[in-house]
Amino acid sequence: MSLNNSLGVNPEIIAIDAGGTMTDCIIVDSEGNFIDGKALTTPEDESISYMEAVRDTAGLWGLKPETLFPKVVSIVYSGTTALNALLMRRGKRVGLIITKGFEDYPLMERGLVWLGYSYYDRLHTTTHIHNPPLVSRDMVYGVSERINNLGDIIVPLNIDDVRYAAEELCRKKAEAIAIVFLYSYINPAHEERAKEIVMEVLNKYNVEIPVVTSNEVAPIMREYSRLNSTLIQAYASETTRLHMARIEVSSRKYGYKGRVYTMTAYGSLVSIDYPRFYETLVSGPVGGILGARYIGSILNLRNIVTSDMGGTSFDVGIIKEGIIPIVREPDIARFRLNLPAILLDSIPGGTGMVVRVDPITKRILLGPESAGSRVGVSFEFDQLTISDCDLILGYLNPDYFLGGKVMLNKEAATKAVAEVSELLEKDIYETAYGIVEILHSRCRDHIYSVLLGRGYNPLDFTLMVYGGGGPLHMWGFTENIPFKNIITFPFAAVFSAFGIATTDYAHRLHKSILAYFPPGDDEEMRAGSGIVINAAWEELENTAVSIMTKEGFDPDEIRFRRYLYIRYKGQLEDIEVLSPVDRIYDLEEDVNKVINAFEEAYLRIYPSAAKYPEAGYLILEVAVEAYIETPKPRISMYVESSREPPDKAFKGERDAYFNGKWHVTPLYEMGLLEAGNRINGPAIIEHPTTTLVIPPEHGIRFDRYRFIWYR
Amino acid sequence: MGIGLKGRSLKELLEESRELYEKTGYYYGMKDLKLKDEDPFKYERFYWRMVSASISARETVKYIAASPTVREYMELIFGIYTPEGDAIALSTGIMVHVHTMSSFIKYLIENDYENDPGIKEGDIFVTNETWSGGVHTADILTVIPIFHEGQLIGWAGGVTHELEVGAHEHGSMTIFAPERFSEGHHVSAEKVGENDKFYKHYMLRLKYATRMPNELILDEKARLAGCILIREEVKKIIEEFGFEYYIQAIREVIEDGRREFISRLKERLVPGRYRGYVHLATPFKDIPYIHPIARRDTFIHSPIEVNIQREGRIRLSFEGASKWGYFPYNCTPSAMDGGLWIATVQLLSYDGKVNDGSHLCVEQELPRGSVVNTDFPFAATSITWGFLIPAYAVYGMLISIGLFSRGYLEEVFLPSAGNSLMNFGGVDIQGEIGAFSVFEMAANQSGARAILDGIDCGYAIWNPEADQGNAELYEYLGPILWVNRRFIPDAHGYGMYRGGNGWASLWLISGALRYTLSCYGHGVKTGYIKGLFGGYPGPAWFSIKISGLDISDLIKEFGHIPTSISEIQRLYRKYPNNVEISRTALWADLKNGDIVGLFYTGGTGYGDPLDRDPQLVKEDYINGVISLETAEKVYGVVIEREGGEWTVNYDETRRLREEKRRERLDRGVPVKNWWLEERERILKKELPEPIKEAYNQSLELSERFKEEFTEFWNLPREFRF
Repeated sequence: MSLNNSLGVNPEIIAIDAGGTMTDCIIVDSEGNFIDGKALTTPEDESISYMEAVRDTAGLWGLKPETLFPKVVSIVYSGTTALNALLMRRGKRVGLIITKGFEDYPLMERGLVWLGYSYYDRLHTTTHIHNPPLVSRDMVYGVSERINNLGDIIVPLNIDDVRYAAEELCRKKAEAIAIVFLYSYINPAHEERAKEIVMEVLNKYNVEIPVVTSNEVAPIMREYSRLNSTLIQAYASETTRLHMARIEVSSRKYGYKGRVYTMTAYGSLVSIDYPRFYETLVSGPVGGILGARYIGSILNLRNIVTSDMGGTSFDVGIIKEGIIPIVREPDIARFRLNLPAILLDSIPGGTGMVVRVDPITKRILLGPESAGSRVGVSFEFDQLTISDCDLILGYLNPDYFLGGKVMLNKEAATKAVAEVSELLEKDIYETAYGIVEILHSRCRDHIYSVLLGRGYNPLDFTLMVYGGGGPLHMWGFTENIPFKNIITFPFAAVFSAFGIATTDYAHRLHKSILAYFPPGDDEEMRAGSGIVINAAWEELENTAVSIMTKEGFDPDEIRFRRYLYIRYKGQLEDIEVLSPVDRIYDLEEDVNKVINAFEEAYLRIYPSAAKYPEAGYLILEVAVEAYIETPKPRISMYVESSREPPDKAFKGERDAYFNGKWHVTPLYEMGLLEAGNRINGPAIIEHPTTTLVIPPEHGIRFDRYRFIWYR
Repeated sequence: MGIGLKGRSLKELLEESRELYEKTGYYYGMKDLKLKDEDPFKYERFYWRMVSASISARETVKYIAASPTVREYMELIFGIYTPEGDAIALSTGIMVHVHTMSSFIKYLIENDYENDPGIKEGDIFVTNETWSGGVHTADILTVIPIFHEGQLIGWAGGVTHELEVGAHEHGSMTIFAPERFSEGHHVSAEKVGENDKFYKHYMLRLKYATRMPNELILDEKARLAGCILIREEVKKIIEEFGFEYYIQAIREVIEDGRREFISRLKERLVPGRYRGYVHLATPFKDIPYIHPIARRDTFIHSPIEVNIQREGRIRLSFEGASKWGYFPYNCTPSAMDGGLWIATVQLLSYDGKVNDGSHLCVEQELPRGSVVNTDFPFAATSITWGFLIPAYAVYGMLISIGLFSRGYLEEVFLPSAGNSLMNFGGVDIQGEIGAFSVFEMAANQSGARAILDGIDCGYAIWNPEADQGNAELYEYLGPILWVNRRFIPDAHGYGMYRGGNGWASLWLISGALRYTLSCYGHGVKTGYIKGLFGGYPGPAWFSIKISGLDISDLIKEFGHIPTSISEIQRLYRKYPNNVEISRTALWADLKNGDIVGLFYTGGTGYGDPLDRDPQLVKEDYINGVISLETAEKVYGVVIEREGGEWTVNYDETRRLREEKRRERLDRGVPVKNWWLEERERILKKELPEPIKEAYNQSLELSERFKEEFTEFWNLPREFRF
């Protein structure tokens, strides 16, 4: 790994994490060396910021697009187009055809008017509101049909209803049509037939618009989440495909020959032809946890907690025994979706968070609003933020924010903190420190609750810290949590883009089934269930092979991971279990292996008082992840130099405030520190995209990979 | 030697706590908030660790549970309590239980459970009795003690709502129970396990207690698991902050909660008396299969007076409430405490320290022997919510008037969700027994706000996290298929800002061997709450049953299963013997192909409907929540179709609104004339029998009510209906 310029490189991978404000880029060469760069995101056409970021980064190696792209093997782009379209309600004019009687579902939203709210606002019902709907009510048509939970047709599909709906939606100039019927995940016949009729009508009028059915997009139980998933696919995801296509075209213009891939919320790469594109809705933050797993594999760490602090949120993820847990009904942009997604627990908690004081209770309130790229009163925002506090406490360098591209106004920050300190009748720096401490405490509690909520002990985990604000506040939010180790990285600010570059190409397919292992050893029941599970896995594997073969991959290179979703009979929620067996052949040995894997997973989360084997084990869903390994950044090893940092890395000193005292604090330049160097606190290490703060009585060392170990 | 701090008994500690408060006016005598003053940041961190522990327990164990009320509707809450049983910190969830678990712990202490049966680490205590902290049989409370170095230093508690309680009727809340003996599963403040394990006999009892034992047992395990998670977390908090800090901080947090509540009250409300009333009917006379003692129509009447005191306290009086009865809506003080907190948390103390500190600032006057404080030991309480919801919706409205008076328009909220409940149960064609309440009313409608309409489908007064649930999940419980979940046009309280609009659910019975249904709701025979400042009340709810008609024939006739109001009216006209429209009902003979349904009520309105923005009326029309007829008749808004788009005709609207205002003036009568006419009716006793009976009970039970009533209507002091 090198962050310095080096000519004559052979660039292989371009990985992009396009956030709402910045587009981060990593370019990896065939030796695994990588460089990073950034550009401001251009939401109206992300191919512009994409090319800007690539240009900015490639320049570090003296490359231009025309010399870069012909050599590149793989481009992975994780963007925010769909999410932005969703948040800004700038998606397609969608028409919805739904089971008759359920036409108001997009307005009713299952009543979850509090999704995405803080603790206080969840209690404060006056603030509860519905989302602006993704489909206007006059674009919704009910059709008579009904299938039950066994897949039996109770009410036949009324073809005239479908035809009428399609005609009307054509007349009303729908730009996409979604079809959602109850239990289509068990029996898709009605949805499929309805789609055929809609296509006939569209053909009649020469209209070419996407038509998506819920069984194609999210064939999983719970109609509300399936509806949201299907609507988002129709509303926003097709636009993303367009942006991606532009990115592919602009890359090819400079000689790139491959496909542009993007990443799903569950951490696999898919091409722009992937039908369930809504699964790529939130993928940037996922890159970080994948990067952590990759680094974990290099360092032989199997239990990792990841913490990503940006300007707005603090995301925590967990890798246990090398496995990243997946949730299947996440809440995204205030919608509950049927979407397998890497479990990331987020709270408002970033450097841009707004700080206020309640005049009645004199309580300090943080966020959830964030200044985003406007930083705080020290730059272009009109309210006090955490960054302002960081500035007056001496942690941030006013002249070196974003490498000096942004100059911060310390005076304005001091004045804003003074107003708060007067209200609290406290010293100004004590106030700023207290505010930062509240943020730390909140993040600490969040890490604790994520770990303890699953019954995990921090002593068994290594914490990886990244995001632009991660190294800046690591010292505070890790205090008193007895992690085994704490690690951060010189490239912490672009860690998610790095993670994206480490991802395998994969598809994850799920299928609802009904299998039951009763208590005891009822062989007949076990045999029946074994057949059902094996058949489902086989079907999913065949589908994945067929999709990936069409995408141009060699079927012999495809590998599989198989999953079971198991619960005690009667429970409404199951636990994802990575299957210890490829198929259930032996009804005693293999079934017991599966049951034991479930029981172990269960007891990692809940106290043993919650066990209930007397009820037997129910499996209502299985999944298969089919993957192909792709080239990844290789982390270079260095010969460890002396413990003492080189003189050239020393930048000077400034005062920084810790625990009620000012300390003269040495400053270092991150890029000039070497493997083997150790630095004791107080110290501050600066980098154009982040700042690493080391308080007194703590220290860091650069290991042979130049990863930074905090103690 | 007691098990409490420094070898004292819990009873001594509880008495000391009460004495200190009475003597000093501060919780536990905490005049100074030492820890908060010394290091407010550390103190805040401590409080959030406690809140996080409760939230984390709730978020984790919901996955263990088996009943959709817990997993899908999140009807559960966890909290941490002082050794004396005062709430320190709570998760979100069914906020009714801010104080109920506290009452349960205090019950254990006051009744000397310390010595018999004894309290030690790992013990499990459970209740659902209204006389020991419960609200009704469906809410089951678990508490476990937390020890540190041999001393009891706190409690962890959790509550879940069960879908089936093993009563003579199916489901969670039996509608027609005349006494407690028909309410099903009771656990009477019992020690049900030790060493974090349930007693074998208790598990056996649960196995036969209800028709859905797996659900009951797994929910029981979920509550226990949550309590254990909290207990272990509290121990870590003590490790981090130190024992001395912990003991001081838990008391300060409660005193702080008290002070925050007082500050909030002084800031938000104008002192004075705010008055309202609750009316509720129990029309049981025509219900088949009901106990003879309960087979009668009853009317419940209760005045409500909220007194906001200058020093920042609330005194709430139900003086004048009518008598308890052989119906399940009777309340006890712990149920009334629960009701109080659902509204108080949502309207006033949502951003304070949600704990028992606030409880010290509120006092309720609950006349003994009345429906709000029954003195009959065996009174049925299975649907205390029958009374609690309208009572505390009115309380919320009165608080909203206070908020309005101070100018906090954006805080005004009418928590006026009338609710309806459908209990199903029986045997399906596979021989599987099913029994459950459909709990989708957890996403009902709220009343309006002063700056916004009420919430359509997304409000439950008892749980701020509303949830309607998925039909696909619920249908696994029994042979019912949703064939409709749609808004009902015009089903809201009209107003400048309208109430949330009601919706309807209709189910097709499919795959049943024998199934029964019972249902009830607020707003039977009488409005359950009025609107505010010219807003209208929500409409009454109703239920329907369509039977004996062939579904295929209906589909042929209508093109689909008929579910809209106009289609049902058409059916009713054509097949009057096959369509039954009812309210409180018990249908014991459901057959496959029958359609049953509930038309939920809407929330109340705010302000004059003639002041409503015509564009909002148009949007409502497009969204199917209002008819053109109502747009004109009530809102005075003329909507027309122009080139395929709906538009407002502003000229016609102005003209129509002026006309309506004139009509109103023409219709009005002087108050004096109205008073004379009404007095005449009272003197002639021209009121329905149940109403006369309710007023007679109020006149009997309360001298104060008698005095005020007879004085206002200028009646003889001994007047009775």
